[in-house]
Amino acid sequence: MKGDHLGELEELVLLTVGSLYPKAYAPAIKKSLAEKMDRKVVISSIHTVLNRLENKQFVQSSFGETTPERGGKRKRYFEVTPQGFKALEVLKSRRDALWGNMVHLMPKLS
Amino acid sequence: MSPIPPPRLATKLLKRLISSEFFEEISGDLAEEYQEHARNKGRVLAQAIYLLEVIRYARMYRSERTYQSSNSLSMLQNYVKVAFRNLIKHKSYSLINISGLGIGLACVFMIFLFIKVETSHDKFHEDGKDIYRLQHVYGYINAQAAPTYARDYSEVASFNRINFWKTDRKVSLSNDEVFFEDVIVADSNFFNFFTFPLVRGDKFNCLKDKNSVAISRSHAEKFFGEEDPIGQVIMIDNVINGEELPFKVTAVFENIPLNSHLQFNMVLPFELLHDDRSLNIMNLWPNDWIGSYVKLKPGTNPEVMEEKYQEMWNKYYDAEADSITIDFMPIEDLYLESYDLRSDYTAHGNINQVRIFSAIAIIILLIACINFMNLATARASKRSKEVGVRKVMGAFRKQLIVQFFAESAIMTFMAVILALLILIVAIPPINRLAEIDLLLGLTDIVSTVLGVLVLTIITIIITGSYPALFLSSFQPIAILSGNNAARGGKGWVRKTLVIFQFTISIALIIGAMVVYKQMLFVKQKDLGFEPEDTLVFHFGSSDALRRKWPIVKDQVQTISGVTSVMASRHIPGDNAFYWGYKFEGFTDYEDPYGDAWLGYYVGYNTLDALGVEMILGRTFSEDIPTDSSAFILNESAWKQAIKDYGEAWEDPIGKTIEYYTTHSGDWAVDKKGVVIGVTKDFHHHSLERPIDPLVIHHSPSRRLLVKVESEKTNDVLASIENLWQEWNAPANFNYQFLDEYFEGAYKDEEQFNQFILIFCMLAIAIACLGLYGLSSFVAEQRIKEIAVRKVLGAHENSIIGMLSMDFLKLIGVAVLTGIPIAYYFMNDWLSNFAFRIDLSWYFFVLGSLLAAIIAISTVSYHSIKAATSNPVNSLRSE
Repeated sequence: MKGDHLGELEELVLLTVGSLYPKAYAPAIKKSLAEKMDRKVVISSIHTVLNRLENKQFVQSSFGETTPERGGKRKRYFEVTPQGFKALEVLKSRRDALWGNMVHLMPKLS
Repeated sequence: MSPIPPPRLATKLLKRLISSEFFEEISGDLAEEYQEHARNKGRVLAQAIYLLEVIRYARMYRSERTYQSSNSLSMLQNYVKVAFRNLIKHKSYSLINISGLGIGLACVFMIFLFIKVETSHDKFHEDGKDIYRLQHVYGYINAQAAPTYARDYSEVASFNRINFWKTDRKVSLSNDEVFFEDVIVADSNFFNFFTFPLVRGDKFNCLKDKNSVAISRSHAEKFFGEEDPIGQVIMIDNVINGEELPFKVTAVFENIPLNSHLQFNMVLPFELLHDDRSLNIMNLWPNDWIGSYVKLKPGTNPEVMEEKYQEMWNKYYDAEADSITIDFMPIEDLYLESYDLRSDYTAHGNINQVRIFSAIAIIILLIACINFMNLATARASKRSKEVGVRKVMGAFRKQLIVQFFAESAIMTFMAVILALLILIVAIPPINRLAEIDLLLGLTDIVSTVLGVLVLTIITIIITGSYPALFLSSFQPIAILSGNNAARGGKGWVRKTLVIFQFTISIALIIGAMVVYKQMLFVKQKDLGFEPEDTLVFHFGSSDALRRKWPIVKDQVQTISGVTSVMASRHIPGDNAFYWGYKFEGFTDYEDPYGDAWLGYYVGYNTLDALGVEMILGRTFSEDIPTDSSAFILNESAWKQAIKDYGEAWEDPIGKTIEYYTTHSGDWAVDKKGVVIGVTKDFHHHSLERPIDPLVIHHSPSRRLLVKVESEKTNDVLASIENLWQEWNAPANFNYQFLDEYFEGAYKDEEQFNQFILIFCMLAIAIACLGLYGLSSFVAEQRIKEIAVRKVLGAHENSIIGMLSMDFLKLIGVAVLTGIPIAYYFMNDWLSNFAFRIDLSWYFFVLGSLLAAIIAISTVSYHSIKAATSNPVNSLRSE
C-alpha cells in the first residue's frame, strides 16, 4: 500500500499543491479547495494529508516567509515531487481509460 | 489593523499535541485563519473554531516527518568517499588495521576450515546415521560379533568386517612391474554398506568372487596407465597361506577422500580368509582382531543393542561370564571421539585439538577487532571536528552511526579480501605440511560462504560498534568550541581494551613458552635407549631373516663403520599387542589365559646395542638355548608384578611366566619360561604416552637393525644394498633411520603444538601492531604538551619515560590478570602429557617481562620521535 496509493482527498490536495505552485501552503490549499472544488475541509485534515503525502515523498516542503497575521511563524510551502507527479499521471491515465469505455455507453445513459 | 493573537491556552494545547517540527507552520497557519474568522465572524466564534481546530490536531499526535531524503544515496557515496580519503590520508594506520584484521581473519578462516574438515569425517555415508563400529578397548573386535548380531537380532540390518593386517604386500603386474601396497580385506557387501562410489564395476557383486580385487582410481592409473583396468589380472604375494595368488580387477572406486577414517587403495574379499589355514581364530570369541561395522534399522537405540552383547557372549562362548560390554561408536563421530582406544587401525583426530583451535581462533579475531576499535577511538580527536561539522550541517546521530559502520565495513571487506589472498597462498604448503586437505572444508560451499559472511558481519559489528556509538555521541558545540573534553574522550574504554588485549597476549606468551619448553622437553627426554645412527631394514619375513641371520650378521659386522648388528620385531615407536600372561603367583584360575600384558618382541643383541640399561639380571644371549623362551620385564612391569602377584616378585629373576596366545586356534600356552632380567624403563612408543609395563620376549625378527658411525652411514648403506641381492631377501631394499621412525610416532602431536605456537605468535604480533598504532596516536595527541615541557626544560629521557609509563601501567594490570589465566590453562594443557614439565615461576616472570619489553619497544619508536622532535614545529601553529 505504502508509497503508491492515493486517496481521493490526497489526490485533490496534491493537484491543488501543483496548481498553487510555488505558493502552496495549507490555508491557501484550503481556500482553493473550497473555491474550485466546493470542498470544505478543516485545516487539520489538510495538514494530516500533507504530512502523509510528504512521507510518501509525493510532495516536498520548505519554510517560506512570514506575514503579520501569522504572529511571526513561517509558512511552509509545498511542491509536487517527480514521484508525486507520476502518481497523479498514472491515476489520470487509468481514469481516462475508464472514461474511454464510458464514452461508448454515454448515449444510452444520457 | 494589527493582528489579534489567538487564545494562548489553546496554542499551548497545540504545542503539546503535535511534535515540535510541525508546530511553527501549523500554529502560523491557524493564526492566519484565526485572523480571518475574527474579522468575519467575531472574536468569540473565532476562538471557538480555533479551539476546535486545535483539538482536531490530536490526530497528528506523535506523528513525525520521516526523513526519507532522496539524497540518501548520495550521502552514502559521500561516506564511502570520506572513508577512502581517510584510508589514504592515514596510510600507516590503515595498513596496521587492515593487515592486522586480515591476518587475524586468515587465521580464523583457516582454523574454521580445519574444524570443518575435522568434523566432516565420515559424514558422506548414505546411511551414516545408522552405521556403528563395534569396539571396546580396541578399535576392533572378534570376527563373530558382527555376523552374530546380524543373524540373531532383527534390528541389525547388515554388517561389514574389515581387516587391515595385509600391509606392504608385493603386487606384480603381467608386465613384471612390482609394487608394494597395503591391502584391506572386507566383506563382499563393502561398497554397498559404505558409500565409496565406484567408477567402474558393480557395487553389489564386485567382491563376490574370491579372486576379485577392487582398486582405487589412482592405483588403476598407477598400475595400468591408460589401459582399461577391468579384467586385468595382478599377482599379490603372501595374502593367505604365504602364497602368491592371482586377482582379477572387478571394480575401480573413486579415490578415498582424506576425511574418511578408512584409508585404502585395494580391497580383497573377506571370503579369502576362510581359506587361510594359518588363520584359525575366525570362530574364537575372546580375540579381537577385526574392524566390525553394523548398520541398524532406522530408529533403533544403539544402547539397547550394546547390552545384547552380553547375551551373545553368554550364549556362544561362556555362559558364566558377566559384565562384558562393548560400545556402538557412531561412524560419524568415530574419527574425533575414539582417540583414546588402546589401539586402532585408523588415524584419529582429537576433539580437544578442535576445541583448542577454536579458542585460539576466537582470541585472534578478538585481538584484531580490539586493535581496530582502539585505533578508531584514538583517532576520535582527528575525526571529532568532522563529526561536529556534520552535526551542525544537520546530520542526525543515526546517520553518523551509519557512516562509521560503513567505514568499518569497508575496512573489514578489505581485510577479508586480504585474508582470502593469504589463504590462497598459505593453504597449499599447509596442506602438504600437515597432511590434511583443508579444501575439503569447502565441499559444503553454502555453509562455508555463510560462515564467512556471518564472521564478516560479526567483525563489522564488533569493530564498528564502539567508534560508531562513541564518535556520534559528541556534542557539536563542545567539539567546535575547542573544548578538549570530547577529544580522545573516554580514555578508560581504550585503556580497558588495551589491558584486555595485553592480558590475552601475556597469557599467550606464557602459553607459547610453556608449549615450546614442553616440546623441547619431550625432544630431549632421556629415551632410555639411543636411537641415533641406527638404520632399520625391513627384511620381509622373519623366517627368512632367521635362516640367514648368521651370514647376515657376519657380513654386516665386517663392513667398516658398523658398530653393531641387531634384529628385532618391535622397534621403539611401534605399537605392541596385548596377550595373555600368567605370572607366578597368579591366582585367578577361572580366567583361562591370565592377565593382559603388552608383549614386546626383540631379537638377540637388540637391548644391548640400543643401549637399554639393565637394572637386574642380564639380556638375552645367543649362547644360551633356553633364552628363546625366557622373559625380560621392564621396570614398570616389575613394579606392577610386585603389586599384583605378591612380594615374591621383589626378586623377579628365575620366576616363571606362562604366555598364552590364540596362535593354535584357541587360547593355549604358547611358551613358558623364566624371567632373566629387568630393564630400566625405555620409551617403547610415542613420548606423549606413558611407558607401559612390558613383557619382553626373544622372538624371530623381521627387521635388521644396524648401528653405524654417523660419518660412514652412506658407505654402509651402499654395502648393504649390494649384499641385499645376495641374501635374496623377500622384500625390496629399504631403510629408515630409527630416530626418524621414532619421531614419526608422535609427529601429529608435535605438528599440532607447532601450529599452536605459530598461532600464538601471530596473535602476539597482531596485538603489538595495535599497540604500535595506538602509541603513535597518543604521542601525536600530546605533541603540544611535550613541546611545552621541552621548552620549559624537560629532558628527552624524562619525556620518553613519561610516555612509556602510561603503557607500562596498563601492562602491569594486564600481568596481574594474565598470569592466573595462563596458569590455569597451561596446567590443564600439560595434564594431557604423560611426561611433562612443571610450571615454574620463571615462565610467568619471563612472560611478563617479555610482554613489557615488546610493549616498550613498540611504543618507544613513537615516544622517542615525539621526545626528540623540535618543539618549534609543534608549537608554531595553533
